[in-house]
Amino acid sequence: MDAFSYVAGREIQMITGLRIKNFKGWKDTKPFRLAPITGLFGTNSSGKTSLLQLLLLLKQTSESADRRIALDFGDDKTPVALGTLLDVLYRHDDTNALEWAVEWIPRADERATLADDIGNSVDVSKLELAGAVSSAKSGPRTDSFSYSFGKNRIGYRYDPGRRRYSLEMEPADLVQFGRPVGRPPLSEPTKCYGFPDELKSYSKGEVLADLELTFESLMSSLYYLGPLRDDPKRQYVWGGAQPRDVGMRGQLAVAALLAARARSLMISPGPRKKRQHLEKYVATWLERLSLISRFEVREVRAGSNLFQVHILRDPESADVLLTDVGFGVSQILPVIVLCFYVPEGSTVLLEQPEIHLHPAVQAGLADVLIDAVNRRGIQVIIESHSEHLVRRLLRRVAEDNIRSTDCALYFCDSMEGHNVLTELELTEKGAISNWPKGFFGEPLEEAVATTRAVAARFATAD
Amino acid sequence: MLDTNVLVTADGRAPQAPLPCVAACAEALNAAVRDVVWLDDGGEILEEYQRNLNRDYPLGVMATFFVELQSNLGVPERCRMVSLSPNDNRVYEEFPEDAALAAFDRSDRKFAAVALASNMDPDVLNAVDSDWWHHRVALAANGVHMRFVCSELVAEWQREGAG
Repeated sequence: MDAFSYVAGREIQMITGLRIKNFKGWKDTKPFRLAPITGLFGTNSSGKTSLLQLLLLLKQTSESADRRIALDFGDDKTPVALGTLLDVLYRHDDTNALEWAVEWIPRADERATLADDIGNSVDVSKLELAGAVSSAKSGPRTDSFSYSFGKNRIGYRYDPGRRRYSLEMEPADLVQFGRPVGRPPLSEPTKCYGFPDELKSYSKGEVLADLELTFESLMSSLYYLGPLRDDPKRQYVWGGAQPRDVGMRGQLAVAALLAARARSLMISPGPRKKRQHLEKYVATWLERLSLISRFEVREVRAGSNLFQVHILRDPESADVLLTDVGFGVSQILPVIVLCFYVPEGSTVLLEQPEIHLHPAVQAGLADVLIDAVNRRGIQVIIESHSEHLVRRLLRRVAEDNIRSTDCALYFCDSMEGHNVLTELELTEKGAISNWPKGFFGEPLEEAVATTRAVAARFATAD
Repeated sequence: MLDTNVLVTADGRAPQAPLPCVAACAEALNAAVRDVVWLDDGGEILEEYQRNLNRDYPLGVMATFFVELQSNLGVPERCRMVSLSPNDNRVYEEFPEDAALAAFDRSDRKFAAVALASNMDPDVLNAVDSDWWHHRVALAANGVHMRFVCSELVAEWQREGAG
């Protein structure tokens, strides 16, 4: 695939580019950049979700216990259940391979390790992993994958004529091996991105294993919150577990708050301000969004492991439980908790984070995301229908709270049976210079049509 | 080129405007937003639009027009800006020096000035302000093209003139 050419102005781990071919409605997204805040917008069934699903497919593959499968299409326990390769191939055409490329900035310690492995003259400030999986008799087969960094590339490719895998390197001596490679024939790759064990053991140094580990650590830093969230509960059981995230349906948000309390996870609200417990910080955000005036998680009885979320709607109102206020609080809670709970440098995928929220709170949600990005180096990728969220984001760009280059906004559309991705050109003044028709509803046309109708119906009666 | 009164009328907030006139203003704004809206790059027109927004009409034609206009501010095909230079007597250098226009409303001069400075002769749209009607001959003589959106009001002004 074509190399990415995006420059990111930051050192912290982040996905900087993506390209997907022959996946669901996408024939080819072409390479597109991802920024600290990436927004996917568009009509229903325009392929927004599939872009997130590809990342989740790679994530669950990297976390799968089965090292022999090319891709883990998932089940009811994984973030996505995609069925089979044939189900996800563009137009179900199994003569094409599913292809993808992910470009990212590795963590600083990983960059140092890779530089140690390969030599300090090699540029490892960004890595790209490109891969292809196609349909074979025995099931999905990894056709190829390759890691690129600077001017170097190392990959693994299947030759259907010879029915063998071979190693490809640029330059040819990029990695030294202790014995000739390819005799006996090389074995199958690990999943769709890992060199087989024998290659790793023949190679001098750890570079093959470290490239794979770097990709796996990127995938493990990916967190996902789905569009449908659990109903609030009167009480939550928590026995001391430390969840990795808030759960796909946000069902672990309260557990995460308690886990954060137990290990004293603190958030710094700004220079010269006292660091706050996550719980307090989340409460402050809920207050700033005018949702509530107090929020507290309390154990029902000491040692009971049962917890309740107590809320004051207004300073004067009665103390009630999470179940007894509107849906909004319980729906936004997982979003805020996730953004401030996951380790710094994580990538958070949010599907319709605005769901069930009042327009003013949807706008405020943009501020929550900007705060997580600026304060904690989180990368946020959202799929959203919220005009209010976008407008607040544009305003914050104009106010210089976030740079326009730190946002990447896309409009997904469906044309002639395939999806099309258009990047919205965002200026530093917070304007979008290629605002697509139908990006959001047409409020002016609604208002004009209303006025027209009023004139037609009531003018003579005046 | 839209005088603010067209926006306010489109909201139904000009008491003298009958309903067909309100609808005509709404249609004019809808058409303008799809074509080109002219503004001064000093932000005087935009500021006047903003000042005349009414919070009681958040989904009205004016507010939605304003939001759409704001979205188009960075789009040169939809929103063009020209510079105005100050002038002590005429308010703007670009406003014609003509004794027949000495009484023309000073706050409305920016619209005529932008239209003239644009070199594209955009129509200046007006709905309920009779000042444009009274000065139409002098304005036209100086190259300002006007469009009166509400024929009912024009008829009224004509009657008043005849009377």
